[in-house]
Amino acid sequence: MSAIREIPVAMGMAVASPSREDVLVIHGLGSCIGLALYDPQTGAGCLCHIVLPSSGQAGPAAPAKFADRAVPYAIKAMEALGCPRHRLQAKVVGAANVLRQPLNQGLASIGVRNVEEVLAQLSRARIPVVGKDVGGQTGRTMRFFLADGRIEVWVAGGHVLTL
Amino acid sequence: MRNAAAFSPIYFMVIAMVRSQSRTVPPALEEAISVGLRQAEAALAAFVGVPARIEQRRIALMPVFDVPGVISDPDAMVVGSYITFEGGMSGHGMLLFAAPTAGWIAARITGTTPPASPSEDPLARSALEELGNVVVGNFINGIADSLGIAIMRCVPCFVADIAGAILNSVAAEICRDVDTAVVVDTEFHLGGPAKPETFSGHLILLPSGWAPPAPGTSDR
Repeated sequence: MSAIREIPVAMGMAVASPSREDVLVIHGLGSCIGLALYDPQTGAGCLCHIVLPSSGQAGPAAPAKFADRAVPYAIKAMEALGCPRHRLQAKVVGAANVLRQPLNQGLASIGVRNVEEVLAQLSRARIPVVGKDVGGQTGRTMRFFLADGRIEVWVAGGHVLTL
Repeated sequence: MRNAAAFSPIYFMVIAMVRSQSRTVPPALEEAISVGLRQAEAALAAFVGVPARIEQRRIALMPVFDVPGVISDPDAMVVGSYITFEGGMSGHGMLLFAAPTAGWIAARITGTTPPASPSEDPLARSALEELGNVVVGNFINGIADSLGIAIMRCVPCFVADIAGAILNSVAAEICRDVDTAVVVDTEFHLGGPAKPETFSGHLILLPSGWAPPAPGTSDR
């Protein structure tokens, strides 16, 4: 029997795994988004650490830096693991306004626009969003358990939410 | 004997947008950092009323996305103040303390006993906010003076959250413009040689968005 393996997902990165023993983790989500795609039939999953909403004229970048590139990338990664799009479920976590400075509207809007872009991309791809914990003013750490697809969200201050 | 709280880490960070194609810290910026530290040191000593020294231990370049990793425990609760600045150099500055240390520092400043939760104690919040304003503000002023540029600071705000989320949010903002950060490890010493109190920490600068001025030119 394999041991459970915890795999951190850094900013701008995406990790896809076919192994139910794996737990994909993002520590310290602020305005970023943790997008989890899961195939309940195989137990495969992909976790993206999305930083910004739109790539615009940006050149090559880390696969999950931009929401508009990360969602298609994650879908392809799941398809490469043998998980057809119609079986995928999505959960979305993050987008907090951690730096509550009134003058600093740019930071707040990154989180809001990240959520909007991710949800729009998922809708376009016809992937249902089955869990969501976004917004607010506190950071989060999320753990994506491929054993059953659940996500545990640890919110700064101590409480844990299960999606 | 040192106070146990003195061994908890302090995170002292300034993230500035500085344009440079170099893979090393521009010498002018390195010198400006040194000047800024001396100015912050003097302000810190004046503010807490005891001798203070800010020791620069290391300067390193790193990808912006690695900035959240400079704090070994991204889930650690930190408390402190956060400042943005713009002008000849724009960016973000913050002075963050591990939560227990924040209470100890606040008590040191206000002459009271350490609060159980500094983030919920108005006096402690105010003291920490002002400390950040003094230390980060003077650090930035020192850099501005050294580089001969004008930098305007916004009003500091109080932050209390997990360290990773704070750095994640700042990194998300600045990665639109830059992809490399300068990290300066620092150590704070308060008190005279007979009774030193030492804290370790990080000072972070982001090198892209500013170019060293041509010799003989200045905007201030």
